[in-house]
Amino acid sequence: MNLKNLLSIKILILTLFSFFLTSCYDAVEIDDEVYGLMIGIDKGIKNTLVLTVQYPIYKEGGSGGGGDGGGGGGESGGGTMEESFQQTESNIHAVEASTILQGLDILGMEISRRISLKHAKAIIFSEEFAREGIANYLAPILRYRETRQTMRVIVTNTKAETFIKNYKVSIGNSLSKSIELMSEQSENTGYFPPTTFSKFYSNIISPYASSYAIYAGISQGKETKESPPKNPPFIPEVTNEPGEYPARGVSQREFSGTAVFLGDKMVGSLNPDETRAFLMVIGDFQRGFITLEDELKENHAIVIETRLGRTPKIKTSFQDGVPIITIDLFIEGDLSAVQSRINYEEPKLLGNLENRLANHIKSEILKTIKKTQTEMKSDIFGFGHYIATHFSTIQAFEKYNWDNHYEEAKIHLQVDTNIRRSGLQIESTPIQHQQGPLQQLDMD
Amino acid sequence: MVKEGKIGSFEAFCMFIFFLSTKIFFTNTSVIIQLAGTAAWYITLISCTTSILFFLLLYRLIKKFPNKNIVDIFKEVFGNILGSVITFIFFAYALFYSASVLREFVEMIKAYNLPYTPPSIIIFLLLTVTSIYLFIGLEGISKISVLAFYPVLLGTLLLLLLGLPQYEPHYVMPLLGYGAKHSLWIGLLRSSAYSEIFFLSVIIPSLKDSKTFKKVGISSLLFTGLFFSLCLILIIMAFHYTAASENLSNIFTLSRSIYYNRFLQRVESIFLFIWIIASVLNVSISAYIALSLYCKNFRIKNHRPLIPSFAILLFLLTLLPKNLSEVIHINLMILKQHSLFFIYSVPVIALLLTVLLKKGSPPKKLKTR
Repeated sequence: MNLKNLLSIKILILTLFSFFLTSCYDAVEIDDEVYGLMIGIDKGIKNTLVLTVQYPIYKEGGSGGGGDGGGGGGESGGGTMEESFQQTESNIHAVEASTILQGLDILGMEISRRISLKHAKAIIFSEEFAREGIANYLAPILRYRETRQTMRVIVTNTKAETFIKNYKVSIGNSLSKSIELMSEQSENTGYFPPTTFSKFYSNIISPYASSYAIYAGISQGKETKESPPKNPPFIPEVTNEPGEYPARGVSQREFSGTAVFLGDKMVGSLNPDETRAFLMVIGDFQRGFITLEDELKENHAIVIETRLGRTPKIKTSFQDGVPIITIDLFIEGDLSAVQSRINYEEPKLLGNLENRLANHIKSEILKTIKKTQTEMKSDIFGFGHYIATHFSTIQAFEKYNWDNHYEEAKIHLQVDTNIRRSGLQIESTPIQHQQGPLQQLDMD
Repeated sequence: MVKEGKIGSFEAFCMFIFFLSTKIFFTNTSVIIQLAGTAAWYITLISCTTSILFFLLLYRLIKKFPNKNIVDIFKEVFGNILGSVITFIFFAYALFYSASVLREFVEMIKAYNLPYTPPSIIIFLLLTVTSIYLFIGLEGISKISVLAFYPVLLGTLLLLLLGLPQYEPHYVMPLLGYGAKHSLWIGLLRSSAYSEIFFLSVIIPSLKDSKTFKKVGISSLLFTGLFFSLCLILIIMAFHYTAASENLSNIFTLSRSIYYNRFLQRVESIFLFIWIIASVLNVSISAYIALSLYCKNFRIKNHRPLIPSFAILLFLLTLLPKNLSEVIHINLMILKQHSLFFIYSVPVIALLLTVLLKKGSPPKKLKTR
């Protein structure tokens, strides 16, 4: 074969390759699909479940599917605060089906595009459904190639469908961005856990730990004509159920606390303060303001921005067959506000404040652990993994049955605190009152 | 057989790293975690050690027949007919191996990336590349292995590093898995996961000498063992053994789980390149070894005319399993668990016969003045 022929054959082969390589059977135009961002699952009436899917719509000036582009959206002008927000344009569809995937196909009978779950950000279960067990509905999500294990798992105390319908986006145009950033708010507040589907699932099938999810609801707060009392109550704790906090705003969703599971069934919940205590122990607490009442001046607050100083140390042992769990926590903080203007920057007062902070955190953690031990019997802290160090084999640990022994575990907790900085001030000067003597006025 | 040419020790090392290690991207990790639980990460070291011991026995056999490949050795030890039959079985095994790896890869790429593309299209494209590799021969494959080695290694290490936030060190407890005895047994049984090292003896004339053979064999086994162990411990720490035993490909699932923020996520597309490069090289190396065994067995001088028919045979064998289940429970069980008895025992028997029948070259005596 001469060189010319050889070259011709090579060119022919390369040309043929272009037929195969320019596209494939799986090529999909972005516009050919809609991308479900939130999947809601409720208990059905005519079939096993109600599947709700929210997806952004392709509309000029509206938000793009999964992207940040677009502008406009459906802005309505004027009206009350609840009405005057820019809402992302999205469609919400609900259908009753026997399985999630069947539900998607049924929705295909009314939606002109295929629903893809490649960009699904969150799966939402109604509490009613979660309390009956959700294992049957997790497997298809895990097995299905389109869903990702980085999805958030949310349990709502309303219907999932209602939650999705009321999930309003008030900042920017992107629904996907809103969901992702909302989930990341856990890092700023510690009021709900940063759990992913991967972690949720592995804990459900694990004999070493129990599962937990974000507990959410719809805010019921409305403007009231009632005039405030002269001395409103001072409540530094955040203990409300989702949706019950007296908050008003454009975003009605509220991620507030932790839904606690035992196996695949929800058995209870932790409020936002308890959730912080929980996150501190598992090392997922990033930062958050802790408000304490000033011991030296009633009804005055001291606000400390706290964070974990180092990864929590957890050790376990057995004493007369009783599991002992020793937790060593180091919390760092910055003094962020002192309403009384008392000089807490002074070493002695600062030392006292550190002790108070340590005692406050300690009591919150002990209360939270006790709650999971007695009320829920669910080890969401994953202490079982540490207990497993005392067993040489998997069979021995499984035979011991940690779930049955979690309740009897004794907790030894050591909390050390260090208030490192005092914000942008090194001391507070009392405010000079007009009428003569110095008075300390209430201000934040 | 077309002259295979000479390859350097690093080229041979890289080639056998691809041959030995690519299985880490497939179902292999899930199966071993399923069998050994939390002990999987060190069980693979037991398997590696067993394989090194076996390899040293193979080295002793090779040393007794300088400048001869394993086909010639089998024929000399077992006689021409039995030697040919044994070589043919090894050829069939290498071909079966190549087809099984290719099918496993196709099934996985269908599961994760190309669900609607017919498998025959994917197989055809991969076999086209494999055929080109076979055409250019051993030297070409070894050079491509060197080129791909660093990107694949760095890419995989980067992937493991990106998974850092997901690792929980206490997930490796209880340390003994399903028990020391069970772990040891599984460790010995799974040493066939390293059995590819036997095929280094097929290309021994291309290596500098038997010392290079020893150096390449042991270093690639050690590297693979440590690499497997690292991957397994990180997989257990990321998913816990309960969930890790369920995943189709733990490494791919890990790459899909990487999420730092809205901007650093969905990195599996980059990982896909590594996966494909490693898999195609693995299939090509095993196919080349099969072709080489066939040619050496039947004293065929030029292997190139055989490539089209060989590719068709490989294509058909790849399509043979009915489904992924059959690939995992039949093909891969044979390759990675039961092949041990055949692959390891034949060279050992050959060594015993060599010693008993006093075949091969006598060991060199030290010159004394």
